[in-house]
Amino acid sequence: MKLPIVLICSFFIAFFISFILIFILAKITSVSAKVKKNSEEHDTAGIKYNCVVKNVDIKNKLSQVVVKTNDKTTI
Amino acid sequence: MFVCKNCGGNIRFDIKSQKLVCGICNSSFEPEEIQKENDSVDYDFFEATIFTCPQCGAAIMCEDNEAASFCTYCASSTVLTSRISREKKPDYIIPFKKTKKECIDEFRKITKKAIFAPSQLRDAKVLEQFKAIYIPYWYFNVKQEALFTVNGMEEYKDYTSSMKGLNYYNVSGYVEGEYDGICRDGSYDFSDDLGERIAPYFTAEKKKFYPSYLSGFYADTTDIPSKVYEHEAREIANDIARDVLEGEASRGDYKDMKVYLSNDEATKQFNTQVTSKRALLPVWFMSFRKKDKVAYMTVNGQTGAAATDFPISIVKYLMGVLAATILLTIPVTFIMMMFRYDAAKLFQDVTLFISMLSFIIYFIEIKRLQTKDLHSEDAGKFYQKYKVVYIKDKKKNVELKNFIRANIVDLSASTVQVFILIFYILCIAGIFSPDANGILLRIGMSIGNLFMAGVCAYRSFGFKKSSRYIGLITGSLAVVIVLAIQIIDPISKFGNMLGGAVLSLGCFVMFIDLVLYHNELTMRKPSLLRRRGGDEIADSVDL
Ligand SMILES: [Zn+2]
Ligand SMILES: [Zn+2]
Repeated sequence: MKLPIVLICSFFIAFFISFILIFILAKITSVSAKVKKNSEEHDTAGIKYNCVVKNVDIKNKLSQVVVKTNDKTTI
Repeated sequence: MFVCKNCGGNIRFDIKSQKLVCGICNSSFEPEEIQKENDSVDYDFFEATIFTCPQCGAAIMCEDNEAASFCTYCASSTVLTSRISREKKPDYIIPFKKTKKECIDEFRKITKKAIFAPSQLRDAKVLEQFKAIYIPYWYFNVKQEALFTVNGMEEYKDYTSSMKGLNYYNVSGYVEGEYDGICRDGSYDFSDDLGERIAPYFTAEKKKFYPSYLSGFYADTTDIPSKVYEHEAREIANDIARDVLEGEASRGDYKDMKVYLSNDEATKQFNTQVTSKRALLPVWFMSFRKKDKVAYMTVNGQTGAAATDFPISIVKYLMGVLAATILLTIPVTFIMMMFRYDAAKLFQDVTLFISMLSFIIYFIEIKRLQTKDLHSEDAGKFYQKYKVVYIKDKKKNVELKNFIRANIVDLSASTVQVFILIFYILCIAGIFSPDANGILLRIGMSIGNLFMAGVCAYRSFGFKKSSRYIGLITGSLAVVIVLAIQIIDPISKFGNMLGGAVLSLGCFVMFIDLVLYHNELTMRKPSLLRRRGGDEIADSVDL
């Protein structure tokens, strides 16, 4: 293997890896303060609340039974 | 202008002392003591000078004439038109707590991390342009009081009989709740995203509004109606009430009672009522202008939380790439020498592999940027555009995320399948030989790359607003060239080297394109961002 060829090839590979890595680095650093908010949950920071639920009464309406077959041998 | 009782000088609100201080005789006054003649009569309105920028249309309240020659929103030096206007009085104000110096210090902390941001943002002179602006927010108070009957559900498991099922219940009771301090920005200028990132504001420190608080400060005008955010306020309250109810119901015989209620149902059942008040919240604000585009830097005037999306300086990016390339070349050379394999062919294989990675990164990035570009999450902008209240559907969001996640997995899986398939077809055809092996691998990888490029193009061209295709076309073209070389003369040293070099350059153009797209979104033309001009209204007529 001739060294100049290897050097040229290595240079391009290094270049290829570099612009991807530097891009990722630039992206990460260019976004300040992370959005802490989880989109699935409302952020309650700064909100003052007081919520009381009283006299909870639970009445059975209906049951739906799903038979779960964990046993593989039945088939 | 607010006038000093003792000497007739101009008095301004001083952040340190939280009082109005006279610039001439140093007397200080409480904000509620100071009123303009006309203001004392009117409870609902106050008199304000509004400056309108001819360049971008921004309308800003200010008592000082310094506002007359420089637009804070589009950062252009221009003559602003001023008029006296009777403005609706906000109910509350949170006065500034952070001084300009403190704000600049907080901002410096986040610029320190942003190593690829333009260096002007570290320049003390540029940072002097931070302006104290009160941003109008809607301040919601939510109340619930009702007797309710809702559907409850509990899963049960019987381990001995391996039975599993659901029990449905009628859950009734009484709810009473009050929620205070839910704030949403009421100005089109200010994006929801930046607003959320400098949140929260601690509303316990709010004060009753007196116009004299604005002396020495800017204030934006309210233009988003409160109904845009009322359902969000109700949703926050309903979600909390539901959680409390679930906790209250999961007692005694019941272990894990779930209550499923849509926002509208919950509003009915809990009798959720919203009252909206106007509030002015403090923001240190700077628009950073480069050519005809601006980026916005914001710092919370109460807590000092800073947020912005920094543009990436192309010069810094290129310098970073150059430095990293020089650093990496020598170690990569050593690794290459360790392989007893033809350097040119190895080079071609490796570049094909990395280009596959870059297509995947491109795909993920373009998807994220486009979501941002479409403002799909900004309720205020959505309303401005379509005059329809945008309802963030939480379930839909989750589904979308899962879809994207599944898509990426799918993509990678199908790419691998394509490789294997082509490889096996060629093997069965009997072309397989030790040397052909490498060629087939390269052809397979090129086709895989093209496949990926096609998926990216589908994603990219599918969005009307996207104008970024030059990078993708260049990247795909590079892959086509590699494929052609592999078909015409796969053994040539020169061919393989040329292929690898072309591929890396092609993908480089793609990444430059991503940087430009990122900058396009952080730096906008102000007229596009601001209030609708004549053309935009004309455009929207056929909506
Ligand atoms: Zn005075
Ligand atoms: Zn302007």
